[in-house]
Amino acid sequence: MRHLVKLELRKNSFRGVLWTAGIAVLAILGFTLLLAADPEGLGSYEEAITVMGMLVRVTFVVHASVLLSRLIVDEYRNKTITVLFTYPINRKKLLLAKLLLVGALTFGLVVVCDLLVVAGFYLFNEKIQYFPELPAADVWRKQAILLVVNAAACSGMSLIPLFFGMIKKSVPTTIVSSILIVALLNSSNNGETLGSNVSVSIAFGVVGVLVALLAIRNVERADL
Amino acid sequence: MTYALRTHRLTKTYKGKEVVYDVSMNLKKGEIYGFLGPNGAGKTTVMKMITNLVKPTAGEVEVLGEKLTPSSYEVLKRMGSIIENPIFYEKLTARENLELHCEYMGFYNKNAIDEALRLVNLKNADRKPVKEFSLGMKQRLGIARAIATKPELLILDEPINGLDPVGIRELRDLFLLLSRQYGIALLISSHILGEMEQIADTVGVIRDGRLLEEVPMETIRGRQTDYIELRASDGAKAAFVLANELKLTNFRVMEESGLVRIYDLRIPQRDIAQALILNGVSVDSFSRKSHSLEEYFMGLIKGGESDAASR
Repeated sequence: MRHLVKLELRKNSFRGVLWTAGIAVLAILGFTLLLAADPEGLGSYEEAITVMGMLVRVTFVVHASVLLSRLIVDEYRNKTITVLFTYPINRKKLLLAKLLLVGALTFGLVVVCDLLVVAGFYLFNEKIQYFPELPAADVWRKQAILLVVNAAACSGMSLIPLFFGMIKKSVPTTIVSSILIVALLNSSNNGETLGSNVSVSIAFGVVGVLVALLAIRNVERADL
Repeated sequence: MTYALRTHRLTKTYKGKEVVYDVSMNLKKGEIYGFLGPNGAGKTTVMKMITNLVKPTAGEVEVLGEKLTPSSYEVLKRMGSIIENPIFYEKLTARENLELHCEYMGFYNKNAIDEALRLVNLKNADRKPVKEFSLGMKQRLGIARAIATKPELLILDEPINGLDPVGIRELRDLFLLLSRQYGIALLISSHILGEMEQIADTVGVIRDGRLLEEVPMETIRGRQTDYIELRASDGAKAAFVLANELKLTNFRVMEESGLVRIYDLRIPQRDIAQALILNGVSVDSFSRKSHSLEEYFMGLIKGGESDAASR
């Protein structure tokens, strides 16, 4: 399996991903700083961390749908899948390697970028003093756990768009469905969002994995 | 095991329509099988079923002695193929594409890629991205990819499409080399009959999803009837002379203007010409002809059509 993931990495250039991540980090940091500058924008340091986490997750769930389009849907559209499927390798494994790559990449990007954004915010806050008081240690600990759990949930739910994209092998469907998912989870209703409830996020993550497996279930029997 | 490939009553229906029906093919080891048929006859569908990309509705495929099932993966190691069009990862170079192919096939002979590129004459273009390739070059690269892992069975769908005459000739020699020297069995589909005639050991003709005939080239060559075609100044008069002076019965006046075909070859051309001229029939042209695969093929397909019309 590791070999298959490596081959996927060789087939596609992932240099663009680093650029995307860098730009996303800067944009999210800038946006949060703007919010913090508004006296009514953010209530506390902790709220700032929550907002940044949400923005990072939203960004990379959508980003994952772009990766899925490139790694799977495009292979069907360009028919390179007919080459891939004449190899003496289980087709489910071939696709699973791609899912694994997207899931792992999304998890890593969420964790790293969230840390970068929070670190950036910390540095700016030292200078400008939006919130003179830093959160207590247990708040940091709680946020750290949330970060990892949410990132895992995120990498799971980022696979949901594949299910819709595979129906008609369509790139737009894949990306639009990812936007719908983040909109559903993160649109606020009296300040409360569906995604701020961790158990809902985890449920979505689990559903994502199941749905992705469902999408590739028939691959051995399907005609090309 | 003497067969590299057999299909048994292979059938594929899409939405109730039979695209391939009851196709039973037999390809011996080391042989070149010319798979002939007009566009849309079902050649590609059959080849996709052989490479397990499409699952048959009924019937079965046996490749290198193994019956193909949806989870037959191991046998794919021993096959090489181009299906429909030569498809590559366009952004990667020719060499990178072949390297990936060998990795996926689990084939780790370093020289294989160089040798394959040399065989198809692409040695100098291997560092170019495939998106800059012409169709002819992609066709060659596709063949290089298919043969790089030294398969026992090659499935090539329209491999000479998009090639210039020199390229076609090079590939023809390559196919013969692969078959005769390396003992590889080749299934080559084409609608360019002349090419198949020169390299195939067996031809299978498919039309409307049905295999009309499967015959060794030997048999077709044996069936080729030679005849003499001549253009005389007066067809009726020429016929009279042939029948009465030369006692020939097996000939036909094709056009009243004077085109005559003589199927009886016992009498030398010289004597026929002499007899005609002595009897006041002048001869404009004289030639000896034989039926080619093309005529045989057209005959089969046309025959099929009139059958269908009368049904």
